[in-house]
Amino acid sequence: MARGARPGLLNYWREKNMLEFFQMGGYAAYVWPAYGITALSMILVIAHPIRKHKKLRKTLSQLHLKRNQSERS
Amino acid sequence: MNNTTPSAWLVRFHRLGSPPSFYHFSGLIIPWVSAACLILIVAGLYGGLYLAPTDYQQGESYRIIYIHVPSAWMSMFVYVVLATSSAIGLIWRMKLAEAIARATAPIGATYTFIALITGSLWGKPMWGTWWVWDARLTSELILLFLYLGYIALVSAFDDRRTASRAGAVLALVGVVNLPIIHFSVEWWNTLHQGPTITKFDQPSIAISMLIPLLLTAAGFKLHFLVALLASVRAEILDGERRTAWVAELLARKKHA
Repeated sequence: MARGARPGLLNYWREKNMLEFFQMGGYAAYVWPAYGITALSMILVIAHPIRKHKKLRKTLSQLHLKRNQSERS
Repeated sequence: MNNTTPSAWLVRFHRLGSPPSFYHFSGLIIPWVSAACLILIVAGLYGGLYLAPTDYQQGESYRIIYIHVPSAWMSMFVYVVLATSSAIGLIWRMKLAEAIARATAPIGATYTFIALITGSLWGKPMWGTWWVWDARLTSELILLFLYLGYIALVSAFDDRRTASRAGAVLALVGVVNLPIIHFSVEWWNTLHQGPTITKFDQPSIAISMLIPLLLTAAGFKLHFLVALLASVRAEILDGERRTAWVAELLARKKHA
């Protein structure tokens, strides 16, 4: 990879404008889908267990409540 | 103070191995680890997508590296966690280790999937093809099948503990694939480039490109930690639903 990367880092990103950034030097069709799929997968892999936990906790507390009531009556 | 002596810490650490302590502890640290993870990834992506210079050979397409390499590293790291916790569960019958093993598999599969997809999206413009059956790509695909096989096997049993034991055997056999993935680029002729970062001599990557990569890689590690804690919590609550401490937890919640 890039041993010969351009040294003028500061100059480089000052020149760069937003449109150019989103075009990714003509590779937008590869770079952005890669990032999109990654972001989506990484969010889902956390959201799924959290939702599962929440749902389970709700079900269990309803069961718990019901059992308490039946014990009392 | 008494509770800061080394032995007290050891006791505390040991207690973490019990499901209720782990449940409470993970609930406490998840928000903090998530925040740190987000900061690292945002900083890494700002550095990688915006600050880092264009590659002189690959143009802007190389920027996929900031997610491809961390996810590929994680795909293997998570397998090590899966195999280790499987071994601990198999040998000491530790419930928490079994829960961790079961929780890691879908997360590892996700990283493997990301590594394969981003690699494909990088390969198309650089190699001219989405996929080749070469050693690195094939062994990574086998890793995905190992994860999926583990998940399928574990979900085929009704009894949680039997499932874990069966899965553990599969996970341990699959360890043989890890060195194959790692050394594949050296053992065989492959389209995939050789190691750039994990070489013993100087890494052949510019420092302005390396730092963002290390930041996103650290972010991915924390992401794994959050995903793992969140799913082990759900697993623990499910597995311990008939225990006294869960009843107490639910009762406390109702009164609060």
